[in-house]
Amino acid sequence: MPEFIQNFELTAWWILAIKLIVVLTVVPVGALAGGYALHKVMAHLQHRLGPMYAGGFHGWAQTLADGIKFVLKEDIIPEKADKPVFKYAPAIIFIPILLLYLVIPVDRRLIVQDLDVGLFYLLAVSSIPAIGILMAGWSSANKYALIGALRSAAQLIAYELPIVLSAATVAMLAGTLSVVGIVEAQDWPFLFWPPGIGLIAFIIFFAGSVAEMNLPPFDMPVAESEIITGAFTEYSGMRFIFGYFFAETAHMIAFSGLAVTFFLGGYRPIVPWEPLTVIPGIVWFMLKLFVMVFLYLWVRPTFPRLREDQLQKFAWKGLIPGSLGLILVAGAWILYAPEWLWH
Amino acid sequence: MALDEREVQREMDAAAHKLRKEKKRTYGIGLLKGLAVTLRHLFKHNTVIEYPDVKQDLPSRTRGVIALKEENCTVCMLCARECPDWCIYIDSHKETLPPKRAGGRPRKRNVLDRFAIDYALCMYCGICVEVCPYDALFWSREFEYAEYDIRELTHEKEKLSDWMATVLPPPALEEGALLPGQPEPPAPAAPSGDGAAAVPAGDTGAAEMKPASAARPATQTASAAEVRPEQAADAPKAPSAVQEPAGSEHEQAPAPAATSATQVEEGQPPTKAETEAPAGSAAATEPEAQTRAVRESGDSPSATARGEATGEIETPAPAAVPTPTEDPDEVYETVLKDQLEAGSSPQVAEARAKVARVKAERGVRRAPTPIETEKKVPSAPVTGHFTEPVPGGAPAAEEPKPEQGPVEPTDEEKGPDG
Amino acid sequence: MAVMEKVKLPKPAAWALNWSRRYSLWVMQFGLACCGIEMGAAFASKFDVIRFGVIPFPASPRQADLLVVAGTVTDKMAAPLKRVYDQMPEPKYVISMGSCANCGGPYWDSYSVTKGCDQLMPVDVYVPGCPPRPEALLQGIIRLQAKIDGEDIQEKWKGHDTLIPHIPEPGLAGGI
Repeated sequence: MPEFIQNFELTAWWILAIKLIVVLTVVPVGALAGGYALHKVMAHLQHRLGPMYAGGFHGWAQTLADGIKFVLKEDIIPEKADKPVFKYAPAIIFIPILLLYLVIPVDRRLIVQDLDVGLFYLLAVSSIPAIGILMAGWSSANKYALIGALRSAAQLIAYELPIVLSAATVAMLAGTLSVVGIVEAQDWPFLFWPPGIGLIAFIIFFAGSVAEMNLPPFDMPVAESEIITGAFTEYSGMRFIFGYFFAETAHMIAFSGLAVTFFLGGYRPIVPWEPLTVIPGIVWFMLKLFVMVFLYLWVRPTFPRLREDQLQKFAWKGLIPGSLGLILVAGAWILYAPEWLWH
Repeated sequence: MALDEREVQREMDAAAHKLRKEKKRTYGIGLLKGLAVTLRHLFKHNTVIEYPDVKQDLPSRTRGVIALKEENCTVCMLCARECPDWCIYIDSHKETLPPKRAGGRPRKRNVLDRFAIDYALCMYCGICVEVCPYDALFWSREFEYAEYDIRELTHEKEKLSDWMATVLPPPALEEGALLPGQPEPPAPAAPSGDGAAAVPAGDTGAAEMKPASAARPATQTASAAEVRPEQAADAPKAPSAVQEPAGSEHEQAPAPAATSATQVEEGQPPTKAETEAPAGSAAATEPEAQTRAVRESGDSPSATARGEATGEIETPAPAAVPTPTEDPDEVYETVLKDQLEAGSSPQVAEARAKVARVKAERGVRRAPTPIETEKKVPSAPVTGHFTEPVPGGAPAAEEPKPEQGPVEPTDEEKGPDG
Repeated sequence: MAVMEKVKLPKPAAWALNWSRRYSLWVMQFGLACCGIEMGAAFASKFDVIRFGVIPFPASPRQADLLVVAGTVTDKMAAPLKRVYDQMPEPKYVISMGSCANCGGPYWDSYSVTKGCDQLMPVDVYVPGCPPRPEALLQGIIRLQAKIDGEDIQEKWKGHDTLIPHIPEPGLAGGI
């Protein structure tokens, strides 16, 4: 296995095939596990138990049952719908989320492709799903779907900026756009160094990613009390589960991976202590990933949904000026911080 | 006044300003507080009742399903007629039985052919159970009879009879409760006259109806002239609360029963009124109990006649003001201490101590203040086993009371769906 | 999915499909009266219907498998109810909860109440009660799961058996 990991960076066709298979299995399995975690964490935060019977032991197979059932369900396409657009919108949503997984370094060498412009690529790809949501909403011939899609688009425009700016802060401090380079360039303690800058950038990134994934409390595009299920109101069966249910959890896990990579030191041990390096990087990465996923799931049942105007106000008056200011501070730190503070 | 208002207004403004300032200062703390709340709940034990595995112990009066005791049904149709939904279907035919004796009239009898309750229609009001004069219908706690077909929700009499196995027995009677028609137990010979306090009123079903009227002063109840001994004897059984020793007939009119009985025992010199019309006034005080006592002693006619003749009842005698024998405050302290030690709540202990102090001030000899021990509430048994009801005596004499409910213990497993 | 009707499924596949439908019943809540409150109680923390895989997430009938009609269906509400049912994708199930939804209940002689939601749609499980306890709804769900478990998936796909059960005319009892 170590040898395989050593060769993982190679670009031979069979290596590429293995990489694709790995990603194509990891993402659905991760999405299923994420869905199960969503059920369980939410349930226990609300004094409940969550699924208990599907599969026997604590309902471990709940999301698997969901998946099989949704594949089986009748696929309804509304008569007035723009049929090709309606059909392919879930793919437009789901495939970019798959692509996100390509550049997340699970270990120093365990990465599908370490791009030179990894950060740039991530930010570009992560905003494509919103186009899919817009397609879904427009083609459904349903007013609620359209409102949901437009809300989603507005939300994307408002929250993509803070994400980009906070990631830019990280890139400035690291001096590289390569994802592995960013992980390597981080100083211990990852989130808290440089003091203040890292933490604030993380908070901005977190808030922005919650909004971009349409998770509560920023889930106005799918606010069921106002606009049913937003853009997915008319979707059923397999298209629904790929466009919304799997996409949501896969997106959440991908963004957790990004946050771990950008702010929490990725695959590196949490304490710079020599014996800890024996533990493989993937273990550290998964540990940090669990913490991040829990954070997303923790916020979900805690806060009530915001109003649409509050959402916009929060982005344009809070996050964007904040992240712009943060870039200034980070620049000042890079220029004027004494050398001994850097390492 | 105006000054005060201005001051209040100023204070309120200051408080609001302070609140605003604090709110501003703690911007963002609210979010963390919310997160802390949900995180705390993550580690708390959940509140789920895992239904098919763990079943809730429902209250004994749960309206789950109505069971039919077929033998008790006389096809009187009261339930079907009272049912607001008309969801009870009863069919019957008449059967002619041969006469009991030779030359007698042949008897006719209703035979139940069909008794069905449509549970799809039933609104679970329980009126049928209440109106049934022969105790043929009972509430059961079972609720698990969802069906795939609505027709199966109409339970015929066989199924309704099966539900009888799940009916809980009636709750055990409380201590000292009297069954209808049961002869009263002999009056206790205890010297304590504080009977009303010693046996808490409302303890029994029978006592619940009467103690108020029994303890009412003579001025409110009928005079002795109206209360004839026969009437008093016919009146429903006297509550245990007023079971006084026979000697308590020497009492004065206006004081409550318990109080006057005590005075006699304490050897207070009887006042003029008391000597003049002892029995009559006593009968007026407690129409039922006293008249019974009088009847037992055998001189009721003369006593009543004397009471009528003298007319003492119309002008009640002045209450005797006895000298206090105990220090009220001391009594208060001791009773409070006793009560608290016995485990009463502070409020109850204080209330009882106050009562004792008042009694001491008025010179009433105090019986030991009752201590509220934890009573067993006759509720539903958890496992289906139950304690045998403690019968206060023989069953009713006047009215044949059918046996209530099955005697065998219910079994959770016997439900229709296992 | 015409394939489903033609191809005879192997036994494990049929079992897996039944199993998945059994434990993944996304539920459309149609609370109309007091039964709706009990339904809410069944879906909340104390009884937690998600334990059975009955997930009250969907707000749109397009994603629902199970419709719980809880409460009095008035003639005015009958049309929206029917519409919601029609919008649900096959295979779909209906639980009628409470006397009103079963057959009109206390309002069976009312001018404005539909005498049971089974006049509008085939009902799979009738839960008696007025209103039923939350556990009674859970028991109805367990019975529905047992029904799904023994179901022939092809029969289900060949078209919904729209046999509406015959309701006997409520008449007076013979003896009165």
